Amino acid sequence: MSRQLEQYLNQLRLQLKALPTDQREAEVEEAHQHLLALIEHRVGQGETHEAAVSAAIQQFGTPQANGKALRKAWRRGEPSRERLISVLHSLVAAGVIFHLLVGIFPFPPGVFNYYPYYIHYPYSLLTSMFQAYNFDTAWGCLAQLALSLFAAASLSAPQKYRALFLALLTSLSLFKVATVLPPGKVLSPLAVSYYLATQMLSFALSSWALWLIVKQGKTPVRTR
Amino acid sequence: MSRDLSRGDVPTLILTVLADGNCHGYAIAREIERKSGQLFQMREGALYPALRVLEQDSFVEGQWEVQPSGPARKVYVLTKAGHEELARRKAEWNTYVETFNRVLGGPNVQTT
Repeated sequence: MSRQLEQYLNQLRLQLKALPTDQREAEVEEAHQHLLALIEHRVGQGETHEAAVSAAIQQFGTPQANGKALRKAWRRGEPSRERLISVLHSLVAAGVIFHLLVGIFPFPPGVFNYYPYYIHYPYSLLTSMFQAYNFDTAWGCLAQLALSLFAAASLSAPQKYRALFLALLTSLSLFKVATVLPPGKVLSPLAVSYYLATQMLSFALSSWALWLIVKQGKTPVRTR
Repeated sequence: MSRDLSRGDVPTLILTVLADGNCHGYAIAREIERKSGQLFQMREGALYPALRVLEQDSFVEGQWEVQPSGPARKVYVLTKAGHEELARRKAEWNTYVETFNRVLGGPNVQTT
C-alpha cells in the first residue's frame, strides 16, 4: 500500500475513533476498497501510480469531511443528546422533590429523621433543625437543594459558561462529599446510603460532562 | 454543465441504481456518473454516509461478499421497503418538477 493511501486511511480511522472498533474497521476497509478501485481505473487510463493515488483521494473527499458525515450517520440511530439531558433533568427534579420531602415531611425517627432531631418528632427534619438552633445544618440542607438546581441549570447553561458552571459544580460536589458525614451525627443506614449515592452520582455526572467538554470538545447539550 | 450533487439527492440516486441490480459502493458511483452522462459530480466518500442512513431505514442491505480474486467487498441490495421508498421519491420528484415547470411556464403549463 502506498504511503499516501496509508496516511489517508489512518486519518479516516482517527476521525472515526468514536465508533465501535468493528464499525470503524468496516468503514475504513470499504473506503480502502473504493480507493483501490479508483486508483486502478486511473492507472488503466495511463496515469502514474502516485498521480492516481492523489487524484483518487481528492475524488473521494477529505478524511475530515467523510469522517464527520459517517459519524453523523451512525449517531442518527442513537438516542439524542436532548433526550439524555431530559432524563438527567428528570433525575435532578426527582432529587429536589425527594430532598423537599425529607426536609418537610415528618419521617419517623431513624428513617430520614436522625439524632438529635428526631426528639422533636413529629416535627419535620427542617423544622427540627431550626427549632434546635442548628442553623448550619438547616442551611446545609437548603444548600443541597440549591446544588441540585444548580446542576440542572449547568446542563442547559449557555455554551460559553457551561465549562465554568460544571467546574464549580464538581468542586461543590467534592466539598459536599467531604462534609456530608461530620462526626457526631447518627444516621440510619438508609440515610447514609442515600447521601453517599446522591453525592457520588452528582460527582460522576459532573465529571462526565467535564470530560466531554475538555477531552472531546463536545458539549452535553447541543445549542439550537 | 456539471452539477454538484446535494446531500438530499444522493440517497434517491443510490436507490435508483440499486433498483437495476446489486452493487458495491464504487460501482454505484460509476453508475450514477454513467446514467447522468458524466454530468453529476460528487465527493465519492459522501456515498457511504448516505448508504448507512439507507441501511438504518432498512431500504438497503449490505453484505460482505468474498471475491474470487482479491479481498471481500460490501455489496448493497435494495429491499422491498427500498423499492417502495424509491417509488415514493420518484412520485414526489415528478410532482416537484411538474410544479416547477408550471411556475417557469414550461412544457407542463396548463392553460385554462
